[in-house]
Amino acid sequence: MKAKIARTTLLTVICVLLGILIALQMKNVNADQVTDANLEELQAKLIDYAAKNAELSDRNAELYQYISLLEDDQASGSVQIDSILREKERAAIFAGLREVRNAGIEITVTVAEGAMIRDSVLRQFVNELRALGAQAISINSERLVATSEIRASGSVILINGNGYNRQAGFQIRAITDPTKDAFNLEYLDAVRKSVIHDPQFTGDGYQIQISPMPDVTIPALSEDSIAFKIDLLMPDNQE
Amino acid sequence: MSRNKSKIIHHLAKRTQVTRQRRQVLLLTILMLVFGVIVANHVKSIHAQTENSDLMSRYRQRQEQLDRYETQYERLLEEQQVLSNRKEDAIARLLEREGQSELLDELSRVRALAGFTAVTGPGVRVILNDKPDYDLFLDSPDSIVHDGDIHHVLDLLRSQGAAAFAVNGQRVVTATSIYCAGPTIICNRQRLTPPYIIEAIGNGEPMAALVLADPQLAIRQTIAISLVVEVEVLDQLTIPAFAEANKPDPYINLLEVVNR
Repeated sequence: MKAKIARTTLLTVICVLLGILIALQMKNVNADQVTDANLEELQAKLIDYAAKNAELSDRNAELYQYISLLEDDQASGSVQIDSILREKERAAIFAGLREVRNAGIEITVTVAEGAMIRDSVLRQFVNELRALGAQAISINSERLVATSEIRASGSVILINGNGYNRQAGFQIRAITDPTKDAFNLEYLDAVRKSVIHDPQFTGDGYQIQISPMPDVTIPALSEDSIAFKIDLLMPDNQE
Repeated sequence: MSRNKSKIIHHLAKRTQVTRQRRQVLLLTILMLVFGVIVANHVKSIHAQTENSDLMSRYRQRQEQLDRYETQYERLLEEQQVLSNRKEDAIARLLEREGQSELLDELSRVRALAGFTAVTGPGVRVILNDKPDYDLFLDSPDSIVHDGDIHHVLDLLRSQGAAAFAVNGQRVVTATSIYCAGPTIICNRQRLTPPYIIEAIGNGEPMAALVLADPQLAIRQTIAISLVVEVEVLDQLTIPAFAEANKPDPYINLLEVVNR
């Protein structure tokens, strides 16, 4: 009888201990999932947020100063209006409403006689230029904005609603940071090679030249251009 | 006869008892074995945990710091929104007082063209996501969303006359740069993670139809790649203003104006 009680007690104790150990083990398994990679990822997020917060904080401070100027009854009206005009001018440059110039890159795309330039090739170069941080881009004489379409329609490519012959050459121009020219040109050359060697373009005879330019002029886009589609935009009143 | 029967019963009872005892010993042995294995494993993991505890404590510290930064970021964004509204009001009051209502209209129009104001309208929402349960070691890198996928969807929407877009709440403007950075995508200098929600104002039905029928996106959804593409037509959606509208200088600092 005594032996039986002892066995049962021993079994119970072992089972309880096993349960506790299994629970601890599970906890450790979860804890072990934190790795150096997790920590690095977290560190990258921290750096990102620290930079964003510092920038946002500076921006708010500047905004506060600007509001103080606007609300200052003692300030001269012309000083205040000048600051509003400067703000409007910055927005106009940003929107693509001003003709601009500076150092940049020019890409010339031509095809063999009888072949037609594909819209996807132009879009690819434009997207790569955007990814490289180009501040202004044009194709032929069309300034590109966020909503500019580049779409083939029969024998023309439509850009901002204007048609350009697909058999004639296209010039893509962009204002880019000249200190990054080496990287940008190497990157764009890789894109050029991928287009030239793309099996679906075999027979089109693409000739693509990419050159850094000391001075590139990018035309303005008119406020009335259909590219802006302002009639579709209703201001959000909750803002 | 009855004596024999009693002997048999006694014998059987003894056998049953012996069997039960053996079973208990066996069970006990198994339990002790499991116990031993778990104890050994636990000791090993305690050793590993000691090594890992420094990593864990640093991770917790960083996580707490990140939580504080995120809270601060939200607060700064709210503050910026309040200040922006106050600025708009101050400009409107000032220009009215100075009799410059034309300038106010021009400013509003130019700001809208630049993407500096939030806008509402009907449109479409396209969601791009990595292959469900994407495994870095087993799955192809094609099974995650790349910058090219986002550019492609934006191009499709542009070709159907979209008037304004946003990617994960970031307004796509003329100077927007979208590119891959490891497993994430940078848009307007902000790091975005999947799912990528692309919203566009415009004629929703044709935009959605074009995305759904697009051959390139169809290839990206085949079993071998399994990218997730969802499309929804919306009666009304809001595209936020460009977040850096109050200080757009980093996006135009290379531009010299030729002609006004």
